[in-house]
Parts: sequence; structure tokens; C-alpha cells
Amino acid sequence: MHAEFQEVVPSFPLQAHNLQLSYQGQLALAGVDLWLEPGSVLGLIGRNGAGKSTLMRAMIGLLEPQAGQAFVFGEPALRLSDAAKARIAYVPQQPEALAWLTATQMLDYVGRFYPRWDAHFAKTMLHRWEIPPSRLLAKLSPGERQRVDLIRALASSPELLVLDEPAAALDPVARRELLREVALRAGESGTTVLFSTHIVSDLERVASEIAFMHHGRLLLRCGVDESKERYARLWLPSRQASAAPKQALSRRHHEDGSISLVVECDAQQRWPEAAALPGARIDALGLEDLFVEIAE
Amino acid sequence: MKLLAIMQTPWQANYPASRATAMVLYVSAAIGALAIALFASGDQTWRLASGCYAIGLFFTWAFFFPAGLLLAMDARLLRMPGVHRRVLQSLLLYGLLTVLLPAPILIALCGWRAAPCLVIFALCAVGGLNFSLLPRYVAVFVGLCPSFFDALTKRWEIGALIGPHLVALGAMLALGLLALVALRWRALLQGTVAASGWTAPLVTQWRQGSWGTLNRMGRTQPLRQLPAWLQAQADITATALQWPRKALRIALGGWYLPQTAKSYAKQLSLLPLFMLPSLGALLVLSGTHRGDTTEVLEGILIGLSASFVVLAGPMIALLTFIYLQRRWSRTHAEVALLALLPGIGNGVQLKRRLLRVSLGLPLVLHALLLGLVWLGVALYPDHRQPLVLLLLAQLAAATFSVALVLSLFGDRAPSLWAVGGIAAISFALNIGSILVTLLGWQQRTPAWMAEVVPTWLLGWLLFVLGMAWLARRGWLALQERPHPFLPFTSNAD
Repeated sequence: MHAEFQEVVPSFPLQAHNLQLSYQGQLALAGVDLWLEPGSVLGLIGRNGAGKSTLMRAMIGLLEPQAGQAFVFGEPALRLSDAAKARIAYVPQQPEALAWLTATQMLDYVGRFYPRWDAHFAKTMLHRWEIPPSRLLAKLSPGERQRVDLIRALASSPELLVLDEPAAALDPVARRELLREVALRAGESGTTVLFSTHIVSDLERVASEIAFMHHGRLLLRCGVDESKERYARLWLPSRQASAAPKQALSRRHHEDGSISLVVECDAQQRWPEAAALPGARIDALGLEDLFVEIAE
Repeated sequence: MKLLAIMQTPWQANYPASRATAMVLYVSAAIGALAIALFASGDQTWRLASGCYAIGLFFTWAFFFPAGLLLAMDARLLRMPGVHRRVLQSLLLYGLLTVLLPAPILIALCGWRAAPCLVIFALCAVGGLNFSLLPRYVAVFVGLCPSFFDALTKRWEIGALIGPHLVALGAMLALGLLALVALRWRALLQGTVAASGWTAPLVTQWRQGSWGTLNRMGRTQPLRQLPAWLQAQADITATALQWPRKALRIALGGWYLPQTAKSYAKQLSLLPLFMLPSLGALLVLSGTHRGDTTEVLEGILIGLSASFVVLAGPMIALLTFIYLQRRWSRTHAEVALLALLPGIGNGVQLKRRLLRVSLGLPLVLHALLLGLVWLGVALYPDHRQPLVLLLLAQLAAATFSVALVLSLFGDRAPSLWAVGGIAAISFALNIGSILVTLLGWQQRTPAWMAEVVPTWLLGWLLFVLGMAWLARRGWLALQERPHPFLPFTSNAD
């Protein structure tokens, strides 16, 4: 998809063309094209092992793809200048960096490298999220470590925020606070955000767009609200099963011979012709249902 | 079927590499003892044979069988019935097989004078268990016991005192140690004593894998277990952009971490504690007024220094390699942070900077060891020739460090097994160098030595050439990498 996108646009925070990567013979990325426009919040969703983290890491130059290229603010992701690096913040799934420093030391250390470091924000957030400032990071709980790393990322005042399952270890209160902060940054400062998650409600809360990954491929990308209008489940009884459209995001055969497909409407908002067959049924899909239908 | 399950228990409790190591050592010791008993002659044959077997026995009971305790502890936590009993039955069975069974064989081969071997074997088995189950700081002192005992025998006629009562005293000691094992086993199983931290027994280290503590290198867990007063206090002052190398050292952590003076002082304060047994031995010796005391002390000092110098060299290279390899394999840790950190450097400049930091400390340590040997050359000019071999050994170890780090950062690192093989060659060359040095020192150079030394030098030369090839290959590959903080794809783990 999005094969029409070919040129490197310097204003785009992230661009990836035909990214391909495999680990020990196992395909992790199968030619992914993806880009983010300034100020957009893209939620990446997919099952475990779908390739979300790999895609994010390859897009910001933390992995070298076997084919394809990634660009950050128009620069090759694998050879970023200091100016470009200062505009990015990345939070990994289970932050483990600098475990031998205390939270205060770590923020002090990292902060010296960023020209727009917001020390007041870092201090305030440490206090608000009740992080013991002088305890070693190694001795913090996974949730606390994730919070410290989120503070680190946000305090650098990034223009591009890449978050790999940022809410995975957070309690509901902290998760809501984080999402609010992300939405605020995107809305007020125009920060571009790429984040992965398993929690569909998080996507609905902050993402302007979603992208589904499955087996190293990007199956679909659309606006969050648009997804409900653009995709639906088409159910065909057994006698009509042979008329099922060839193009479908997922296809499931039932024991009684009937068939369910996730289908996409065309530019004129029309469903495939099979939807008009006798006995056929079109069901609207919520985001979570859409995810489950595609991922199963 | 039940007997088979009992026999398999220690195997199930250990990692494959531990099983292989224990088997190789035990079987080698047993075959060695048998060969001595069969082919050697003289009154002392049984002592040599017992000693040879006892080494294998101690190792097996110290590093192989105690893993059953870990199995029993886990089974207790998981409420799995019968496992603890099976572990105890396996210990009893293997106790009979490894302690009671070999004794009659040795007695049959060497005569009744070999009867004390039973006590020696029993002492080795329970001693090995104690070594593994007692707090690890005790194990440090146990390792120094032979030296201390040797020092004691120089002052008092301990042999004459104990000799006639060896069997009775040994049996009583073995029973006492067995009681200690039982108490400690029970306490660890029930969790009434710490199973982590400084007071934890050695056996808990095997949870980390076959390589024990080495497996913990570069992990966060040891940091969690350290008591607060022993934690390294990072010195993060003056790490502004004009000090990128210091910033890199902070990010690498471990022994690269720059610490505050207070933090260094706290850690160095532990050093005298480990020197206590040696100091005790020296005090005991200093009480004697025998003419050869100075000579003995000097010999011990030179032997220890030479051994330390040549064995520390390859260890520095190995530890550096394993530590850096571990840090780079943690994709959620510092490498991701460093790759995106502005101001740390870019391109070739960053690669050179990283190499200077990661090689700086190991090379300083190699230089210190070289300095120690150089001091020996200065203090003992008559022994310059044997000491030159130690200098060569240290220089070769430094090339080993450089080659490993360059090949690692170039993503061309040999597999861990290949690195182990190279380290084994290095250790073999080093041990040979010690032998040549010590024999040359005592002016007891055998005739064949003159022929062996050139071959030895050729061995070192080939080793250094091999390392130079590895280093060059790594350096060229590093130039090709877009940045040095990409994860490694070579089979270094």
C-alpha cells in the first residue's frame, strides 16, 4: 500500500520505503512503506511478533534493514545529524538504560545533551508520578522505570515522539495521564507521535490514525473515525460463499459453509457487490473487532 | 524406574555445560587415580591416587551435585511433591557411588595402608557441599586454606601431631561438616537465610547459567542485590558536551563508570578484608627464625605475582568482551539511547571515540600489569630473560583485548565458543610462560628448555598475528557500519 509515495519530503518527521528485515531467516518486515506527516498521531497495532517494534526501531535508525530506507526529518535514519537527533525522543518497551544511575542523575545526564531540555517539567513530573529521585533505576519497578523514561523523552521537547507500548507497565491513572500529555503535545506543540499498543481504547483516545501490522506487513492505515465507515464484516451464507470477493483483509470459513470477510468500501462508499446478494449481511466493526478479525 | 529417576535428578538440575564439565573432570580424575594405582609403585602411591581422585570428587560435589538444592527450592515454591525427597535420595546414592565404592577399589589395588582414603573422599565430598552451601565470603577463605595450612606446617609440626589420628580426626571432621551441610540445606530450602546478596551461597550463582557470575555481567540484577553502601556512586559532574568520552563511560557503566572519590574509597576498603588470610600466613611465618624464611616469602611473592600477571591478562580481554557484548545485546538499554543522543558524536569520530573509551580501561590495566613485570625486571636484573616471557605474555593479552573489541564493534565477533578456544590457547601459552619463568628463576632450567623456548616464542608470534588479523577485520567492518550502536548480528552470544 501507499506505493505512490516515492520522494523524500524533508518536512515529514518519518518516512519509510520498502523496509525489509528478517531475523535468522524469520521475516520481520516484508517491504513496509509508511510515513508520518507533521503533527499526526499514528497508533500502530498488531499482535505480538507482528513486527511493530522492529518497524519503529528501523524507522529511527536503531536497526539496519536488509532492504529499503528510512528517513527522519529528511535525513537517512542510520546517519542522523545532531540537529535531527535533538528533535526525536524514543521510549522502548521495557526501558533498561543507565540502571546504575538514580532517576535524578539520569535526567541530569541526558538533559545536558538536549538544547530544549525542560528541567522544570522533568522535576515536576518526577514529583507528580512519585518516583523516588535518589533510588537507583535498577531498583525501581518496571512501571516506575517506564515513567522515568517517558519523562526523559517528554522533557527533551521532541518534535517526533516514538513510543513502543508506552502504557504496557503503567497503572490506569498513569496511563491516562500519559495519554493526556501525548494528546496535549500533539494538539498544542504539533508534536508528531508514533506509538504502538495492544490497548485499543488508547488508540481511540489519542490517535488520529491507526495502522494495522500483521506478519511484518502493514495491512491497513486509516483515520480512527474513518475505520468504522471504511471497513466492515461481510457475512455470506454457504450458498453464496463462492461469490465472495477476492479482495479482503481477512477471510474466515465457518463449519456450516458460510464465510466472513473484512472488506473495504471504495472511494464512493460502496461495499463489494457480494454485499447485495440474498442472505448477505454487512456488520459495522468497532476498532477492537476490526483488530481481532484481521489478526485472528 | 524409580532408581532411574533418582539417578537422573542431578542431571536434570544442571545446565548441559555444567553436566559436561563435571563429567569430564570426574572421569578424568578417576581414570588418573586408577592409572596411578595400577602403574605407579612405592609407599606413597595410594596418596597420589587418592589425591588425584579427590580433586575430581571435590569439584563434582562443589559444583555439580549442589544444584539439586535449587531444584528442591523451586519445587517447594511450586508446591511440587516428592522432588525434595528425590534430590536427597540422589545425593545419598551418588554419595555411595562416588565415596564408598572407589575406596575398596583403591584398597584392593594399594593394600590396607590405603584405608584412610575413605576418610579423605568423605571429607572432599562434604567439603565440596559446604563450599557451595556456605555464604560465598566463606568460600573465598576456603580457597586460601591450603596456603594457610602450608604456612602453619612450616611453624608447627602439624603432620606429626595429626598423622597418627588422621582417620579418627578426619571422620569427626567429616561428620561435623555433614551436620553443617544438613543445617544449611534446611535453612536455604525453607528460606530462613538469604539466597541472594553477599551472604548467599555459591550454589545460587548456578541459577544464572553454566557460566555462573559471568552470565550476570551486564545485567541489572546484580545492581539490585548490592547493598546500598557498596553501590557505585556515579560521578556525573562535568559531563557536558565538551566531555563526550566521559559521557560515554557513564553510558557504558560497569567498570567504565566514572565514580566519585568517596565511592572508589568505599570499594577499595574491602581489599584488606580479602588479604587477611594471606597476612595471617605471613605473620605465622614471620614468627619463625629459620634462615630460609625470606627465600620462601620471596618465592611465594614472585610465584603469586607471575601467576596473577599472566592469568589476569586474558581475563581482562574476556571480561571486556563479554561485558560489551551483553550491553549491546540489550536493545532496550543504552545502545538505543546512545544512538539517538545528540552531541555524543557522529560518523568516524564517534567510532574512534567509542573505541578509545571501551579499550582505554582494559589497556590501562594491561599497562599496569606490564609495569608490574617491568618492576620485576628492574628489581631482579639477573632474571631478566625469564621475565621477558611474561612481558610478551602481557603484550599478547593486550592484542587479544584489542582484537576482541574491534571484532565485536565491527559485528564480526567470533562465536563465544571460538572466543573460549582462543582464550584457552592464550591461557596455555601463559601457563607455559609461568613455568619457564619459574624454572628459569630457580636456575633449574632443564636441557629441553632451550629447545622449547623458541617454539614458545613462535606460538606467541602466531597468536599475535592471529589477533592482528581479527582486529583488522573488525576495524574494516566497523568502518562499513552506519553507526556503532546497531545491535550485533554475528553469533557472539
